[in-house]
Amino acid sequence: MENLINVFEEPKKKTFTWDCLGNVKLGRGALGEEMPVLVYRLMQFTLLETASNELGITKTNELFRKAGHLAGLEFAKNVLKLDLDFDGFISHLQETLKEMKVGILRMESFQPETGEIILTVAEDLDCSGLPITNETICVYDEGLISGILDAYTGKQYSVQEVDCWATGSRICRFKGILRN
Amino acid sequence: MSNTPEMLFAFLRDFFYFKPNANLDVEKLEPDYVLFGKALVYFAHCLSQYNVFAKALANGDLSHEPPPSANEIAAPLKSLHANLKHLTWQSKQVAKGDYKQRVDFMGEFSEAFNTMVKQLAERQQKLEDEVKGSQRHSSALEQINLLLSSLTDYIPQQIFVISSDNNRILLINNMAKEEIKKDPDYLKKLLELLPKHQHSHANHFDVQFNQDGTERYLAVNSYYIEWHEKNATAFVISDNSIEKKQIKQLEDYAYYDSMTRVYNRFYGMLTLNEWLDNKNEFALIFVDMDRLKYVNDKFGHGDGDLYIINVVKHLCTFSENAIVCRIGGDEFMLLIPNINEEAAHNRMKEIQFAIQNDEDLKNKNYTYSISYGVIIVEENNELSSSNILSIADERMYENKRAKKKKRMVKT
Repeated sequence: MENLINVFEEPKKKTFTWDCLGNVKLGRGALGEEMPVLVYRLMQFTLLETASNELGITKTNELFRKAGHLAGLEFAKNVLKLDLDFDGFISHLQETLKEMKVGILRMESFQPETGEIILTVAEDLDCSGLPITNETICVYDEGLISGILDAYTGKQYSVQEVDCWATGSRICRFKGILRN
Repeated sequence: MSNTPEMLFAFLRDFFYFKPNANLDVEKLEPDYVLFGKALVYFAHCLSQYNVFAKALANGDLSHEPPPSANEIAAPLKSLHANLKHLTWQSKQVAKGDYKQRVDFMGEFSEAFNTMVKQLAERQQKLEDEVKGSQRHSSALEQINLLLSSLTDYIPQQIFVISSDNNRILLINNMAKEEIKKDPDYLKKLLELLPKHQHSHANHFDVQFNQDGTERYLAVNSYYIEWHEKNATAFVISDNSIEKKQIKQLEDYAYYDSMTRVYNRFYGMLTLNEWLDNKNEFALIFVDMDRLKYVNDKFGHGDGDLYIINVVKHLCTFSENAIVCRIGGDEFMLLIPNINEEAAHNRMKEIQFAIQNDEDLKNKNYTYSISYGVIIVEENNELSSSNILSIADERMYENKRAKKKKRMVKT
């Protein structure tokens, strides 16, 4: 029998909020809040595959970067302490990313005059251990890092992955610059 | 085209030994080797990038641009470069005081670095604790100082704290303020009476000075102190003027005869015993007024008192160092240091004469004179004070009897 309610209602536009993630602790009382990286990657790469088949790789990368940016913004607003000074914030970010097993963040340099920042992520959740494909593939991470930096600085950052595990490096190196 | 192996060998040789000049024209290779030649050139290019980058790292130049991501050969070196850059960042953070930095990717170095940072953190904590302790201590001291400053207003002594370099008043309590109100130059006058250089950290001075005709007696305690990081002197001053006056009055009652203002029997005996104890050489003269009872009975005590006062007036002229004491109603004792018997007799005869010819008693209807007895006490004296007085008393009677006899012979 047809669902009459759905017949009369237009599909609503989804708006992401932190609450959308639900109460994982409550919902997974027995299994807990963690799961294998494998499962995360299974979802990410199948989604990538499906989207790139439908939309092409450029469009898909753009969507993944945007999604990462939104995640970064929300993650920063809901998890990170944004009132720390820069050095304190970086230390806090390092600790949090390590604690949440996203990766090991290491700062290389920061130019206060230009805002240019170079950082690396070792044991990255998205790419560490992948076969070498000569492509930088952490577009989601690019968006995630720019979202976090935007939330902290109040400015708009453009982040690019300059080295990736998938290009043969043992780490992923990201360079962030301020957008005009 | 037959020289392909030579070309490849020459390229490899040049690359190893003359790298900047190494060149391989892949178009001149045999067709089957063109792709291989291109790969070889690319490999050499990657290796060259690796080499330049490694040299930069070996020289400590971490700012050198790493080879591009396409250069997979350089990947481990880039990873090392990233770690060194991060280590630099961490060291800078440690220098700024972030002791939470830890290294976990450099093997044995990580352990040394982490131990060093941990020790730095412990030392920093220790220093901070010491500073905090010091600040607490300092704050407590400041509170105590404040309390003490307030309490000084409630104590009866005058308190001045003045700077050592220019005598500026740093603290003054209410009692001291009262003094300054009465006399603005009070402190200046007081400081002039104190020694300029006081060698001890705590000193005591008894100061006497005349203020508007009144004698003041002050007990001054001074202390060298540090006051708000400056050298200063704290004066605690007790005004003993009233006590001194009372003591003087008591001494008057104890030591002086109230009518004649010469010393009394108590003071005379005290001095006599002291001189005997000290083995002093001196003369003791026992003096008795002739016929005082007769004057009192016949002419009244007013005349008797006048008689006594005039006798004392003359006895006090004996010498500057003579101690004159009234030891009874009409008896006196004179103690004169370092005088021989003849000189004592001569002086007493002069006094006897002066009394008999006193202008103030000239027109009275009675005669007035004194009798006396002299005893010289020497260093080896073994007589007691009462024995000495008895001998002098006896000699006085001898003198009195002799005078009577002389009068009787004359009549």
